[in-house]
Amino acid sequence: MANIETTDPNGYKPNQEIFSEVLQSLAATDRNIIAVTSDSRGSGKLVPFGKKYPEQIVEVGIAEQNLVGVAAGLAAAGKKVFAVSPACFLTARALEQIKNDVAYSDNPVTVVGISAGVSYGALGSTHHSLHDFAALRAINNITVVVPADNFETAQATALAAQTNSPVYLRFGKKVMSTLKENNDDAFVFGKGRVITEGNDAAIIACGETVFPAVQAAKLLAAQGIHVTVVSMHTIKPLDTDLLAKLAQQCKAVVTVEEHSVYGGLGEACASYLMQHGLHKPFRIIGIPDEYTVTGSQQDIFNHYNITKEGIADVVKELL
Amino acid sequence: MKNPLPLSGEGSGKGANCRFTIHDCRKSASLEPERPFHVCRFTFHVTARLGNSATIADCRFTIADSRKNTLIMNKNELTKRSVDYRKKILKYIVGANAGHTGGSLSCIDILNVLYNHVLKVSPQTFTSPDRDRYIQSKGHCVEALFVVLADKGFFPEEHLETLCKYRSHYIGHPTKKVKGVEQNTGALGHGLPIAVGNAIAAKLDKKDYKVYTLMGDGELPEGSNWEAALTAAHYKLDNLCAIVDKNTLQITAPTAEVCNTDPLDEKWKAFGWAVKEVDGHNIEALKEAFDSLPFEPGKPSVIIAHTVKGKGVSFMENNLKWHHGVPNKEEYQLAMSELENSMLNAAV
Ligand SMILES: Cc1ncc(C[n+]2csc(CCOP(=O)(O)OP(=O)(O)O)c2C)c(N)n1
Repeated sequence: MANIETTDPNGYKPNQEIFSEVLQSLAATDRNIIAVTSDSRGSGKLVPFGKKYPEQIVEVGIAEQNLVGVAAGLAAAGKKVFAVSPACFLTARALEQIKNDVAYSDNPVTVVGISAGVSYGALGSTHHSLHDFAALRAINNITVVVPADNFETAQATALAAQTNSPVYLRFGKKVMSTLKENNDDAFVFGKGRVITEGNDAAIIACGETVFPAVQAAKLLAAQGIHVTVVSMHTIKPLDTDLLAKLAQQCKAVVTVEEHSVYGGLGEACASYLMQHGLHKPFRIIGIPDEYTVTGSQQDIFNHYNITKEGIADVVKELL
Repeated sequence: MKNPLPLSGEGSGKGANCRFTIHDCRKSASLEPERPFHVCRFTFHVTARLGNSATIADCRFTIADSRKNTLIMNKNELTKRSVDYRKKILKYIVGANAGHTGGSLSCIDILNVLYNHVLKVSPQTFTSPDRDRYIQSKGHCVEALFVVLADKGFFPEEHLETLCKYRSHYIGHPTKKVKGVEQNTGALGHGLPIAVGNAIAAKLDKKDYKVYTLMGDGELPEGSNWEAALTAAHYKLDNLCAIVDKNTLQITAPTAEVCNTDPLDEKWKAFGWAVKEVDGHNIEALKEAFDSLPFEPGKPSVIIAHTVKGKGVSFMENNLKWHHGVPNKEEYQLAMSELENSMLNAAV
């Protein structure tokens, strides 16, 4: 959790910081916006929020189950609640609260999983969330959103505040840039964003892995291979229209995610394609089912080929 | 060989079971005293032959109780070890550019007393079903644990140079890939339930090993702790000892402001535990508390150790910044020189 970079020459920020800024601007005009934290306001970049709106932050201490239960109660009483804690604890320890008190009871909490995936790198598997898509995909009545860049994060946060049903927002702690120069497309839950276009292959990625996917597309373009890259920011409900269209158009489909290869974006896509007779060469890039290699987030990405070269190689293998 | 050196110190232990060894710190040699030696009381005097230029300051002396396979050290020795451990904690945190500085410094005296005075465990006995178990629930303070385990010979200290690096087993929380670590921890609120399971197994197997777990005070709001506390009292686990490192700070703010758990002693008592409060940096007080376990027959024991987060380095003490702050070059040098000074004081 040490020294992370939070300033960037281009003004880019970690998505967690964007989330917090948007939440502050929402709270300025809406007293019902409440952040609930579990000794997590520092990692959630919510210290300024807490200073500015001390009555709109509820601190429960290191107690994630309690965090989600309290959030559900606040939401049931009409508050617009963001329950913020590291994704690893939130979606493992408090899974039953998410399942029963939020999703099943339909209390419109936004469960915000910060420092997700392997953001905590060398802190090890206790601090990794490589299971959260799988766990939450199997729970009815929760939208699962994994914004990639600062734009998607801002949009997703604002949208979650307006959504009257449970949402899971998940992001990492790295400084992220912007995927598109003009962010002129509408951001809607359940609709993937096409970042680059090409008919040789489709790379469907989410969260921080969209960036190496875009770089892979550039590498491939230089070799005459043109690929579509999608930021599939909503894992559930999946944009199956876009998926079907790409599978028809392209010769191969590759998915990339900072999650176990089991139960995540890749298997969601595979399941849809298989059941709809869209059989194209297909590969899931993610974290395999093994004792995760140790090291920083970048070390782990490098080790499992979540890099521009690694992704480009898989595309070439399939073509 | 020079003239015999008179040494004196304090220790505990009885009669013929004790062996006394003098270590020459300059060359890692150990020497036996001139005449057979028995410790009967808490003070002793002995003469021994040491290398040519040895002075008392070069010597460490330990008394081992051969029945218990534990080391009994005098106060000076343990105090010096704590300083040494603190220096190493900082060294490896700086090397990794990551780590939990404040909480490692607050619990190191507890770990020192546990591993050098209390626990019946060693690299040789680590696979024995009869060994004492230590589970570090506040896993984020792994640097403290690793430094002590290296000192006890569980692995070569150089391994810690790989802390948090690609493919190293030495990561930011305890894992069983590292010899000496009992359980993988890091998510808070897991140590006590596992310790309770260990302690129930000991009772079922009629074994007399003891189980210890170290928790942070910020960690206590996790409900799993209190669920386990109930089970421990229900099963009358007087072979279990929890230690709360009550340094009164967590990440966001003082624990009392984040989620107040005071009065803490009354909570544990209400859950059926026997409680002792000690100064968690006072080696003698810690030894005394551990030596008097179980505090009440038929009850699990908890030691509430009053500690200072960042203890030993003036600018780190009681400062939230050092929860997981990594010292820069100047801060590191300053911290090391402060610790070296306290080492000199400890030697007097
Ligand atoms: C279940 C869980 N929630 C949150 C964290 C993140 N975390 C790591 S250390 C810490 C603060 C711990 O405070 P305390 O127990 O007082 O430890 P100390 O001050 O001794 O370092 C938190 C919130 C975690 N490791 N596990």
